[in-house]
Amino acid sequence: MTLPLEGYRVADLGQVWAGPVLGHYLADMGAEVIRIESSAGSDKMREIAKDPSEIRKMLDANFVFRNRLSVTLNFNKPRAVEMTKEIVRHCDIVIENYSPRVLKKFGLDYQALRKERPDIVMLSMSAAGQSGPFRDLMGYGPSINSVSGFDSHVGYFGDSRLMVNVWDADPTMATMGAFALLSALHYRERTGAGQYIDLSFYEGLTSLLGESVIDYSMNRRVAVPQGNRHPTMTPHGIYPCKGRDKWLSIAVSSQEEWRAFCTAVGEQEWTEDERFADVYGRLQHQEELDECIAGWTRTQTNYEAMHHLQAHGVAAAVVATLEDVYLDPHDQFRRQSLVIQDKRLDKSDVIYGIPWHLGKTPGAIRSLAHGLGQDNKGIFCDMLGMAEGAVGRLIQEQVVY
Amino acid sequence: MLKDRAALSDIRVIEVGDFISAPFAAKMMADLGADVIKVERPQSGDSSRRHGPFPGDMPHREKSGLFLYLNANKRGITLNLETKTGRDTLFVLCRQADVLIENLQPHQARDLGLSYESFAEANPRLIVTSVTAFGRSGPYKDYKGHAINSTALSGIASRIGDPAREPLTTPLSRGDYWGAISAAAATMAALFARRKTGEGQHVDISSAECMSTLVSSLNIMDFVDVGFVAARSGPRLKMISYPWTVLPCKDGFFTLITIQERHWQRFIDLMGNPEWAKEPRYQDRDAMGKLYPEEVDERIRPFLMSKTKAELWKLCRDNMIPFQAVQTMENVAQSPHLKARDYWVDMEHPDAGRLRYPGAPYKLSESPWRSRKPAPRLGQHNTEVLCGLLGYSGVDLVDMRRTGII
Repeated sequence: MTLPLEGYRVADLGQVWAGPVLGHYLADMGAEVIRIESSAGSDKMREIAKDPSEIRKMLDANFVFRNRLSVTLNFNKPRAVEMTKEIVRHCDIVIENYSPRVLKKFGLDYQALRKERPDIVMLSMSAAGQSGPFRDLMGYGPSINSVSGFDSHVGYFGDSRLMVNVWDADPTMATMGAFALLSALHYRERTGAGQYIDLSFYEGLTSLLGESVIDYSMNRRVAVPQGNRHPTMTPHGIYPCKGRDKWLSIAVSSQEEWRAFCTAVGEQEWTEDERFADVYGRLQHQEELDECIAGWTRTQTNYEAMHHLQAHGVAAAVVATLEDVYLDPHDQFRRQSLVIQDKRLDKSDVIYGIPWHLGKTPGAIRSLAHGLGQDNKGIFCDMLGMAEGAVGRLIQEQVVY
Repeated sequence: MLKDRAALSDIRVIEVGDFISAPFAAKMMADLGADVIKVERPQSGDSSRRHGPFPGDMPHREKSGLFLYLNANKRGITLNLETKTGRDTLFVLCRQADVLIENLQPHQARDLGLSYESFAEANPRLIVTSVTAFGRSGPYKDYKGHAINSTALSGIASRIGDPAREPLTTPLSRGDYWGAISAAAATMAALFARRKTGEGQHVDISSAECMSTLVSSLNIMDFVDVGFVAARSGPRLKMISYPWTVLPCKDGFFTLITIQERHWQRFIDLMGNPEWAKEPRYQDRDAMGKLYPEEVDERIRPFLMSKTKAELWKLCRDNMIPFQAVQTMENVAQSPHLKARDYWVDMEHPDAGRLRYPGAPYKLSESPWRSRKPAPRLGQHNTEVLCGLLGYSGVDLVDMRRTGII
């Protein structure tokens, strides 16, 4: 089976969440990804996966660090920094998400690494980028959604509180990073030129808020939470169904769909209400309309109502709980295409899949996470040509650590 | 050397996209130099032309902010895909392209015969990227879906909002962006595969699946392994040690998120080491987060309410505490940091005028992200593309216009 990125080698200095997610995308697609990490470091995600033998308990970390080799190098020792550079000489790509000053302090920044490998493509991810007055901004990914402006939108319409958002920032920026990195690699294939990519979470996340940025530019209007409302679609909401905490999302995008919706709910009296006759009326009377719709959905189970509305050509989907996502026949069907080569796993284990469905070259989960330093010997002796005895001494000196 | 040092200037993309998902994926490629030709319906065009925001709230199909943002750097043509000539023209266009990005409604794709197989027949080297709410395979492949629906099915909506009220979708159709970003990255992977195999392929992206993989999967594993259910819990996460919350301050909101003890201790110091913080009840951050976070919120509320978010943010930055101001769009627009990094793009559009757009999400040193031209007017490049690229004559164009094909 062809793997799209087979033949490329990556030095992965990723930490915690964003870096490791980007690393596994490249590895899933076939790149040889070497994690350079250390017991002296403080990777929280890695701490819970030191012993990869406990697969069931450690699935998450096993999956975040899957498909990769692991070497341990302690950057506090100059020899470890030299060895890192030697590894980079054999690599096409370097990825990292330390705070901006860290790698420079160790002499492992882009300027240093390009001397080892002039055509290296290197990506740095940080909260606010590598320059500017806030370059040292510290922050967990999810909280950069607050900085970007996104969180100022998260709440109910007309309510004075904000709700906490899901923690999407790290994997979202990791995926954007993967795109930028592969584009830069594509450029290198054409020109031979490597380059440096500075990805700022702040800027990346603000780039997903185009309509609010432009509304401010056009009308000086500052966006506030709209809940489940939409500027042009109505009905557009999440409605209660039979049972405890069961919900259904419905979105109607045209007059034709509105008529189909009215038919689907059995032409109840309110479907003839003049206030709801066209989209302008429905936008003006959303609260009343939502109450009427809830009156119908409360008599339905959410899955049945979803199938029923979809049969009439109306967009509807259950608000899936985690259990629903796990058991849903559609999700299960889509998971079947995942290629798993690690014998310790079978398809019933795998939740954290590969959301990129490439029909002919789907990539694969080749192995669960390697333990910290599992590949020290292979990389240091076979790739760098060091003697086993020398590696043993470096372990004692906590260079390899 | 290449004339404008753009990473993807050798790639041509045909976009049959509507609203956000396919258009944003194609925009990511256009911003790095790909030649993106956007195909819209004659007369009405992309539905984002009706979405707004509009200057002074006056609807106008050439002035919708969302459309202008998502379609800058592209060429635009119109084709009526309901007609055979329209579809044939699309196939001719695909023969001269590397990538097709589409988010046709399932029934359109089916009824019009615009399947992956039909495009592959026209051009076996073509990468066809579908980015839809639920994907092009599986029991729900024919289901309609908008961002609120894919967010619901992904498991994410169940986790946002007040437990006493309905769940919330993510704002600004975020679910569509998640699909778009994954689609752009996966398309690049398929281009690398084509270097090896010489063949195109179908890239089938489901926004719902991207969201559940990106965000919910770890929680799903927790659920499967230990029966833990992450449910919505208002302005905080309740599954994790304190603090993970967004709370009001004097003039807005402030976000307090950390998993590290030392950050919390520094914040206690910042508040002047109040007596309550020394009680055993407020030493156990795990219990504080999972059992009585509301009570801790009340303890810190007076301190938060005594300061503006700018004051709190500066204090936290100066003291190495990773807590953040919830910036409004006005704060973001006025950010000195974004100005110093030359983030904003000011662009003139013939109808909408001069507007400020978000700029580069990533800075590439050799082949930079660039804003080249504003979004196309409906059918603006019909002549340029159909005559210039495909070799149709002026008479053909008149004919196509008369019969409603363009």
